[in-house]
Amino acid sequence: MIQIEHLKKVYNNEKVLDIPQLVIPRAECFGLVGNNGAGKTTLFRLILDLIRPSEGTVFLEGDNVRNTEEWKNNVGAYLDEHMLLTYLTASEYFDTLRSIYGLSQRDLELHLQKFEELFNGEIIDNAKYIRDLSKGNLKKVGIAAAMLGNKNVVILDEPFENLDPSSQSRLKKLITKEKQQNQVTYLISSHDLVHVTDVCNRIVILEKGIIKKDLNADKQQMTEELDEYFRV
Amino acid sequence: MYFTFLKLRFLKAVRSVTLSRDLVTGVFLFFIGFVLLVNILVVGFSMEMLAEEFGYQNNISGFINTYLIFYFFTEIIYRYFLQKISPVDLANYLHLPIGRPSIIHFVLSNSFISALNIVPLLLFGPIAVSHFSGAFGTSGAVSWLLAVLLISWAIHWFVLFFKQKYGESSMGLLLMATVFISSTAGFYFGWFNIGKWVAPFYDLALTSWIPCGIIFFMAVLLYYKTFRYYLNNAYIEELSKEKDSRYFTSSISAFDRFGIAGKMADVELKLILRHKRPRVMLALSPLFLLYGLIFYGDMDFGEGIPGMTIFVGIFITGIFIMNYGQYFLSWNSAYFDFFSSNYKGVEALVTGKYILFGVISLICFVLSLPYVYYGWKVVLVNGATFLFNMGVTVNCIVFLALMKPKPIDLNKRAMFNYEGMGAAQFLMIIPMLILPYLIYLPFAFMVNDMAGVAALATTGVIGIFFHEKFIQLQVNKILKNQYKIGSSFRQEL
Repeated sequence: MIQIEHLKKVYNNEKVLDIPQLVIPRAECFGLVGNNGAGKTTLFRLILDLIRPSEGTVFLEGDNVRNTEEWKNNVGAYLDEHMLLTYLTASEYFDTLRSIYGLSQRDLELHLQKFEELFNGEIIDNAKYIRDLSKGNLKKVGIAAAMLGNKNVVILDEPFENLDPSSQSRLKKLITKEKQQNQVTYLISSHDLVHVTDVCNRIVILEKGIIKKDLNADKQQMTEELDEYFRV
Repeated sequence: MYFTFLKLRFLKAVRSVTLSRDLVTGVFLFFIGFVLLVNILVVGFSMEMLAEEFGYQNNISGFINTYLIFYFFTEIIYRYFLQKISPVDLANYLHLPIGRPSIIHFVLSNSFISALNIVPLLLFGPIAVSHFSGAFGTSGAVSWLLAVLLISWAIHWFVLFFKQKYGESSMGLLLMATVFISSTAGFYFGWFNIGKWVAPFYDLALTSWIPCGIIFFMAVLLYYKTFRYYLNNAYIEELSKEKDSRYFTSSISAFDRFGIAGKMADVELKLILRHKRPRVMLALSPLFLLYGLIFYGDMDFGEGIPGMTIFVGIFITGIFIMNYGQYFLSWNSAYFDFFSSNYKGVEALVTGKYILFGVISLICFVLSLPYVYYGWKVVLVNGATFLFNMGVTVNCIVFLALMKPKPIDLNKRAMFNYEGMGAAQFLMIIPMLILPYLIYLPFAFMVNDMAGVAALATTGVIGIFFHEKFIQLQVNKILKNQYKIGSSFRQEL
């Protein structure tokens, strides 16, 4: 469970995020939408303790993320390339993560098998360094890395961006399956309203750092509300 | 068009997010460059004296014309290392409706505005004015000087062409080194004197404009050749990408025994080998081993231990720690979020780096063992300084490096790259130079030299014994500043 209390982030006297309270229960697939500059990435970074909150606290399973580090074992994230070691090949990178998470060779193989379809034979055993991969393949590596290990929470920033249409569908299938099997909480931000309503059972609209809408109804109703909000 | 290009270039410099830092290093580099140019000018003014020194007082033009070719060889070599065109500019304009030729002309002519191109003027201008104008008339002096300058400028284009065509491959460098060394050696051993063959050409330049015309034609031709080459290859991938090379594709299994930290050491080694700037730093380590050859030969190891050996030992076994460690965290600036988002990631990173420092210093120490030729005391001192480096120096360097770590873009060039440089990097020389003597000297004076060396070794061993504490200290320091470090590495400030 993720619990956010009075979370604020201010840059140069400008409030970029202000969330009085937000609770994301276990195994929920939480979608985050909003126009550019709404504070989506900032929220994710605050949850991951990568930036210092101006005020407030994020609790993961009851622990303040700023006080402990243990939660990092169970939280996977892919926000941007800063989270990859781009001078390694994809296989070397996965192997590095394997030893960080203390997994066996077999665990890693099983995990990567799930991604076989998504990778489309272009990632594993590719001699290219990650930095030389296309943007789409780079994203696939990041997503697979975020989901590796025994994760309770997986945070993905714009996972569908840069992926080709078939990869987008494959990724959706993969997330839906994982969610059902392993009780994992997903936090997904996206500009693609169709994908996010397909995958998530709760969607929050962020505007200039403030929660405008918290949608938790059936898909049909969510779609209508989203359409209404984003209509120009 | 030209004006627009220049304006854009100016704006790019002024609006750079790293302006203040660029300015500081810029001023620093400008100062160093200025001092160098003044020195060159002084050499230029002493040319006559130099000729007399070599016994050519009656034939100064003969002296200069004979040695000129060696100067040009040297020029090719230093230009090869220093000169570079920034292809990034190209990428910004290629897609616009601007003729490729005018972009290339701009990029090339921009490269010409360089201090390197006035070096020959400073070096040979004074003698042309003070001596040749008297002896051969103003016309002779001007045509001679122009011939020298034009050759230098022809070399400018030649190097740009050569580097782009053959890359910074070792092949090209080898070729040039061979030409340079063989001609120098030939001259030195008296087999042949390439300078004597070329001298008549410059002698002629003193009395006639023909050589000047020939060289002018040559320089224009080389410019055109370079221009054509760049034009035909004006595609971003071809001009900007480092020639594809694969380094170090296997892992070192010996690191496995250290667990996650060992894995990090392995990954760090890949980082070093797969990027040019850290690779150069690693390559320098064996080079510094030769330091001993310079010093030990003149030393007398009969009585005690010359104090200088401590300094040499610190350098031989610790150069990598100093070179690489000064930017401790900066190397990982692009990947810092990876480490901070993983459980104990920062700790593994720091420990991994310590392992790497240990292994590489140990290798340096082992490689320095042949210095036993100068006496067993040398090995003893190097052993003690190795321990001292491992137990004390490394902690000081890393501590200073963590004062205000700055991001480094690993994919930028290696030579004269001052990215990541800060006040801390200047301060680092202190622990390297003063600390060992602070330990050594009191014991050396009160007891004897051996006691000093033993004290060094003991301090080192104590430091190594507490290495976990020190590592934890560094980790805590990073964690305490992790938000600040993270945002500066993400270049958000």
